[in-house]
Amino acid sequence: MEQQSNKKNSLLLVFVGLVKRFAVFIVLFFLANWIYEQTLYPKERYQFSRVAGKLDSALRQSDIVYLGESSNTSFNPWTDTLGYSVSQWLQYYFDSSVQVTGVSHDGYHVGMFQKMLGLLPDRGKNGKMPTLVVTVNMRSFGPAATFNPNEASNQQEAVFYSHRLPLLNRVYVSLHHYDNRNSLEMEREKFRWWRTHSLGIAIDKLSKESGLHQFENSYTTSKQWFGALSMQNYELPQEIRNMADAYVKEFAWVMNDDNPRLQDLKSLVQQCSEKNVNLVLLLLMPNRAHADSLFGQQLTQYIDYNLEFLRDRIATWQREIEKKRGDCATGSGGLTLVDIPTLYFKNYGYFPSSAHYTDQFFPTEHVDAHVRGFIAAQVANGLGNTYKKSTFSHVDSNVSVFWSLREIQWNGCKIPFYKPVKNNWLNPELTMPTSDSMMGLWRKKP
Amino acid sequence: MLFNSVIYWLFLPVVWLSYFLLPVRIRWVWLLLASYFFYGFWKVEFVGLMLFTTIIDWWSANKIEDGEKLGIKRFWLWFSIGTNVIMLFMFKYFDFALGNSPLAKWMGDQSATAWIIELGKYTIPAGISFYTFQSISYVVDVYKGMEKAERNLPRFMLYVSFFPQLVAGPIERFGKLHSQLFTSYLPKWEDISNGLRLLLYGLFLKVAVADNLAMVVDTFYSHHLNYRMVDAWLATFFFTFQVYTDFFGYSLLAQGSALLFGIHLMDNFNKPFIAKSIPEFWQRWHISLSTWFRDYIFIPIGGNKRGNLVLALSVFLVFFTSGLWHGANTTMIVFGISHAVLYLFDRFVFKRLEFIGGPVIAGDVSIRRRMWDGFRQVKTGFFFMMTLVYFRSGSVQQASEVFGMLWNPGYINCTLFGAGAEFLLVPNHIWLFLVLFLILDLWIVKVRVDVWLAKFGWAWRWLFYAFALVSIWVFGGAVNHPFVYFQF
Repeated sequence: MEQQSNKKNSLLLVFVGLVKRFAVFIVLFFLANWIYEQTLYPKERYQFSRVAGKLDSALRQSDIVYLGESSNTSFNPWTDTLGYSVSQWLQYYFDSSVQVTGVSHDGYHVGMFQKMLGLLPDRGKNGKMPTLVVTVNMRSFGPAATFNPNEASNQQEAVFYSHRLPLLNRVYVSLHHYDNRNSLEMEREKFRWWRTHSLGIAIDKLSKESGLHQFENSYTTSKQWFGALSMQNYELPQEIRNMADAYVKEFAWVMNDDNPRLQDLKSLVQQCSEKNVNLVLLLLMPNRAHADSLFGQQLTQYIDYNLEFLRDRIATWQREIEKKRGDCATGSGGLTLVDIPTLYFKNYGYFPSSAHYTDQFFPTEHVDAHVRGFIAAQVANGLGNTYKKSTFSHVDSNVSVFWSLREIQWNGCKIPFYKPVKNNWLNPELTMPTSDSMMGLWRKKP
Repeated sequence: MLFNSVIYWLFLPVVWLSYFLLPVRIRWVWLLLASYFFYGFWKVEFVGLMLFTTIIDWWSANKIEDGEKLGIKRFWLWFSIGTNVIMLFMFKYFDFALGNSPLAKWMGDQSATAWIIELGKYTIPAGISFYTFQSISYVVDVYKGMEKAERNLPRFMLYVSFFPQLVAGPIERFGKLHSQLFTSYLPKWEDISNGLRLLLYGLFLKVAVADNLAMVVDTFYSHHLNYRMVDAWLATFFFTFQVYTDFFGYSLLAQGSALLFGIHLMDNFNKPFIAKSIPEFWQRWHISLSTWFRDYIFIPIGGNKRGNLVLALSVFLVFFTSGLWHGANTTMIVFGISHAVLYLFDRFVFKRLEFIGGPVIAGDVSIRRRMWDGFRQVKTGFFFMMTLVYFRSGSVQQASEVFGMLWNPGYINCTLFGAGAEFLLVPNHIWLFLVLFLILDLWIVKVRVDVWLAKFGWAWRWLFYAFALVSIWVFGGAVNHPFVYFQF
């Protein structure tokens, strides 16, 4: 009995002592939070996430917010006569009363855009929620992008895409409360995916309809494929070998419903629907031409299938929203898909040539002004009559001029022939042909 | 799960509160479950590995105790040690040993073995070196008859996996830890307040001091050739205290966490930078590992009882093993061997210079003696700092280049203040935290920090707590840096 009583007393004493100290701790935390918010927070928020402040104000003050990655602002220094980003271009399609703001960040993806929704206000400009244009880059759903060694820095930035107490955000950064897997762990996950995920496209309704199940691939996994590539001993330029390796790593994978980025996209769509945000998903166009030159249908089947898979799932979500709302899935709380690969093909009858891509030796979606202008026009069309359109067009989409058509002077040198080269830097001493010129060697390989 | 994670600060109070609400007889079961959850939270696949090691050692120890013939006992001892060493080799050194050999390539191409290569290249099971050494010490102690074998497997599992000291020590001996885990304990306010103080100070050292220093050090080591000589010195000096505050902070967090449950873990550090020689330094730095090496390698192979040659060989073997224990990398082996050389230098050469300080008399505070001792302290700390260049560098080549920058003016155009394309920026708060820590650690705090704090009135104590908390909240290092010793 006495022991029981001692135990109770001991526990009670400890409990009371802890409650008192916890109360002081809480008071101290809120006091520190107030001082921090008034002093260091604005500077630190910009330091840790340079777009958080811009995003916050854009969501409150803009009609249309364009959430983009590097493709929004990638210019081609040789061919672009107009250095507009897609989001800047988009503004010209609307009346000056309609505010379009682009919030772009290199290396972002739908997972990050989904986290950015944490800064959505209860009410935006004029009491309405803004329209969100979200870029969907199919390549970023693959293992190479999903397990990017630098992803932890993205995730650290995402801590600031929330209306939490500022000091709590800072504590989360200090204690690394985000997906902070280091580069080695990410590499391991990536290799595990390449080793274990099959390259076989399931023979289902989707693959049958798109006719994509018929192209056999002799490699069952991506790892086998790029392993075989590394063993080949052709006398090819290193750039082309690296390029072939990169294309396999970036595109040779099969989308399914378990894909983590697809889950993020689904969550993004659901959140926008619940918060009555008009959502426009902008499906970007991968460099299919280079993939085709390198491996033909052996590789392009994956690009086509994965894009088709995304279209199919987005259409399913659209139908669900329509069903819930009882009308078409546009306007507030709606979902629109602007499918650039399909629209471009419909408009021109072919996919854009690889010369329209600014990165010649790596598969990116960085496109020149011709394609950027096309994308902006299609997004403006996709928004229909939601916003008042501009009465005249400032836009001439025929803005990409290849240097091959020109002869220029540079530092006293006469430069007769130029095409886009890697890294986008204009180098007068460089007479290296584009990857297309080098691709001839690849095609001649034994 | 890491001590400097939000999830741990939710996990710890829940486990602690539940522990004391449960009946005494099943509390240890709760602690066992919590420990396995703690470990599995990081990578669930490695739980099986720890369990395997635990079962082997538990089984072997029982066989040793039951064995009547010495040969049988010896067989089970070596079976246990061999299994542990093989596991360590497989998961920690396999990739290092294979390198880019054809065997590694072949294994990487086979689907049945590729995962082993991937694992070795990219991930080491957290704390494998710590719990393996702890488990080996138990089997050896049973073999020597110093401990009775634990017949109950789950109870032994708790000894190996007790979460506060699981992933980075202290490496506790069976006799000390096991009995505490199963003793009925009523929470004492003294233990709890001391535990909380250790937790706070440990977190301050890790988050506010070590992680901030890491930002500067990492910046230097990521492009070291771009910097100036003065930056190389700054980064080397900062790394010395980064690794100290990082591991010291971790050890205090481990001790603080355990103390909340009434369990006293050993001190892992005892002011190493006041050591006057390398042998003394290792009595003050990572004490649980040093004593492990002393008891299970140094003494069994002869130690200092069989002449100078055996002593020298024993020292080399211990420090070679210690270097390898720290990591599967040539730089770590060089780190270990350089300590062996310095150890022997102090023991056989520097000791002969003792006359400079005058006769050694207890309580001697003469200026001559104090200056001599001060010189020896600086010398020891300086030598340690130099060896840490190998500890931090990613390769021997990088370490050589950093040494070149430190000692060779003009090396790759690197002069004291000039030539470097970049220079290290050190924000004021980093200097403040470092200087404050050095003053506290070297001059003011003579006992463990929780005991030292208890001497002050509540106002001073809370001022200290508020300072530490605000430093953690507002100025915590943002670089994603796990505990340095977590990777071992």
